[in-house]
Amino acid sequence: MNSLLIMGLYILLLIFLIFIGLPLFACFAITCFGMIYSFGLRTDFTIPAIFVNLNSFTLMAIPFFVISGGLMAESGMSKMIVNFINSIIGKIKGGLGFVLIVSCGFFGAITGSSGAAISAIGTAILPEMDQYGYPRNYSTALLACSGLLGQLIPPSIPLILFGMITGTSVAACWLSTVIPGIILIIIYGIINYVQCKNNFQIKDIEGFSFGKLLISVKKGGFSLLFPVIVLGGIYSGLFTPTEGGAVGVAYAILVGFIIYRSLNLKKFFSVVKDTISITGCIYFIIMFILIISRIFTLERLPMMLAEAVMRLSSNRVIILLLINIMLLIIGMLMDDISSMLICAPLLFPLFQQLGVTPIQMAAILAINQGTGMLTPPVATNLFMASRVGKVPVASFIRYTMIYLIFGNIPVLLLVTFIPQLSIWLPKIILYR
Amino acid sequence: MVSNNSNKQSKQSAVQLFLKSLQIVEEYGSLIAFMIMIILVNLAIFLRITINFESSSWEEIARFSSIWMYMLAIAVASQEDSHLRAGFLEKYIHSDKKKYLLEIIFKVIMIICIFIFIWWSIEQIKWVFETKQKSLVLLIDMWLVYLAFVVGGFFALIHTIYSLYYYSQKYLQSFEEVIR
Repeated sequence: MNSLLIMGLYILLLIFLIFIGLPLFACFAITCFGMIYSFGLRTDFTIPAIFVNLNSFTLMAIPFFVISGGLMAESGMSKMIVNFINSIIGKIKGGLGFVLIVSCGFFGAITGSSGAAISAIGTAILPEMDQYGYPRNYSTALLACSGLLGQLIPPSIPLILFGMITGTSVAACWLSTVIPGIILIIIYGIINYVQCKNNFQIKDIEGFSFGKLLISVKKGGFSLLFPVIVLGGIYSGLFTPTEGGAVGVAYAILVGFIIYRSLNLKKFFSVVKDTISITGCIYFIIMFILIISRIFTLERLPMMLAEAVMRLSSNRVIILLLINIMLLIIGMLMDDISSMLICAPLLFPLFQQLGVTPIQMAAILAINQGTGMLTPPVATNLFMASRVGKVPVASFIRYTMIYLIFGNIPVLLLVTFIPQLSIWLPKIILYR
Repeated sequence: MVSNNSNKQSKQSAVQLFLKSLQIVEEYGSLIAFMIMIILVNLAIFLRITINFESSSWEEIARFSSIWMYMLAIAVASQEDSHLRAGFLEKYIHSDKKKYLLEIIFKVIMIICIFIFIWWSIEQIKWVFETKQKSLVLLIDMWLVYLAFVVGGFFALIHTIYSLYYYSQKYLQSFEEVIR
C-alpha cells in the first residue's frame, strides 16, 4: 500500500482514539506501534530517537517556564499586573475588557502557556468585571480568546518544541509571533470596544490618576520586571532561552519569598509538584510523537507529502490556504503540543518548497494551533475559561466566534501572506 | 471468615504501604532532579557572567538530571492518573457501570503501551551496557542515564495496574449494587 495512504489511515486512527478519550500518550503509542508494524521497521531506533531529543538543553526550558509562571501566580502577581494595566487604560470604554486582553499578553511574557494565563488573569479580573456590568458569559469568552496571547507573546512552549524539531533558533521563533500578537491585541481591543459600546450597560471607571499609577508600580514593580529581566537577558544575548527560564525561576523564588513574602514552603512545593505532574503528562506524549516523527523521516513521508500536495496545484496561494484549513482542522482535534509535534516535521519540507521560511512557518503554526484551542471538540481554552468563569461553554461560544472570525482568521491570513509580519522582528533583533 | 478478612486487610495495607513508598521515591526523586537542574543552570550563568568561567560538565549533569526528572514525572502523572485526554465519549455515557468498563479497557491499553515502552528501554540498556557507552564530558556510564526510562516506566506501570484494580473493584461493586 502507498506509504502516504498508510500514514493517512494511522492519522485517522489517532483522531478516533483521541475522540473516544483514551489518554493522549496511549493514542500516540498505538499509532507509533502500528506504523512500526506496517512499515516493517526494527524497534532499536525508538529509545535512541527519544533520548537524542530529551537529552537537549533546549527542552529543559519547558518545566522552567511552567514553574516560574506558577510561582509568580502564587505570589499574587496576576492581580498586580491587572492593577497596573488598569491604572493606565482602565478609563476607556470597555476598559476592563481591554485590561483583560493586555494582561493575558503580559502574563504570556512570563509563562508561555495560554492555560496559565487564563487561570491566573481570569481569577484576578472576572469578579471585578462583574461589578462593572460585564455579562459573565461575555467576559469568559474574552478570557478564552485572550488566553491565546499567552502563547503568542514570548516565551511560548509549543514554539520551543518547534525550534527543537526543525533546528530553528527558539529565540527567533518566539519573536516571529510578537507582531501578530500585538495586531491581535489591537483587533481584540476594537471588537471589545464595539461590543461594550453597543450591547452592554457598563459602568464607567474613575479617571486616570498618576497617583494610582505610581501606587500600582510601587506595589507590583518587581513582578513587572520579570519579563524585562528574562526576555531582556535572552534577546540581549546574555543567556539562552533555557537559561532565561532558569533565571526566571530564581527570580520568582526571590520575589515570592523575600520581597513580597507571599510564598511559603508549602505553596512552593505545591507549585513544584504541579509542575512535575504537568511535565510528566507532556513528556510522555512527546516521547511517542518523537518516535512517530522519526518514522516520518525514515519513510521519507514529509517529502512524499510535499510532492503530492505540489502536484495538486501549482498555485502557491491555494496551497497555503489548503494547509491553513488542514491545520485548523488538526487544531480542532488535537491539543497545541501534540499538533505542533506532528505538523512541524511533516510540513517542514512542504513549507520550504513553497518558499516559506521556518520562522514564518513557526508563526503560522502557532496562530493556527492557538485558534484550534478555541474551536470544539478539543478546545482547551474554552473549557479552561468555562471552569474559571463558572459558566457553560454553550453560553459564551457565540462571543468567542465573533473574536475568532474578526480577529484570529484575519491575523492568520495576514501572517500567511505577508512574511514581513513574522520575519521582520527576528531579523532586526537577532540577525543584524 | 474472620481470619480471611484480616488476611485481606493486611495484604491491602501492605500494598498501600508499598505504593506510598513508591510515591515518596518518585516525588522526592523528581524534586531533587529538578532542583539540580535549576541550581546548576543558574550557577553556570552566574560564574560565566562574573568570572567568565564556562564548563560543559555542568550542562551535562543538568541534562541527565532532566531525563531522570521527566521519567519520574511520568510516574507521578500515572500515580495521580492525570494523563492528558480529550475525549467526548464519556460525556454521552450516563451509567457508572459503563464508565468504569470504559476506564478498565483504557487502563489495559495503557498497560500494554507502557509494557512495550519498558521492553524497548531494557533492550536499549542491554545494548548500552554491552558496548560500554560513556558520556562525552564526564565519562559517566550511559546505562545510568538510560536506567531512568526503565525505572520511570516501571513505576508508571505499577500505578496503572493499581488503577486497573481500583476500577475493576468499582465495576464489580456497581454489579453488586444492581443485584441488591
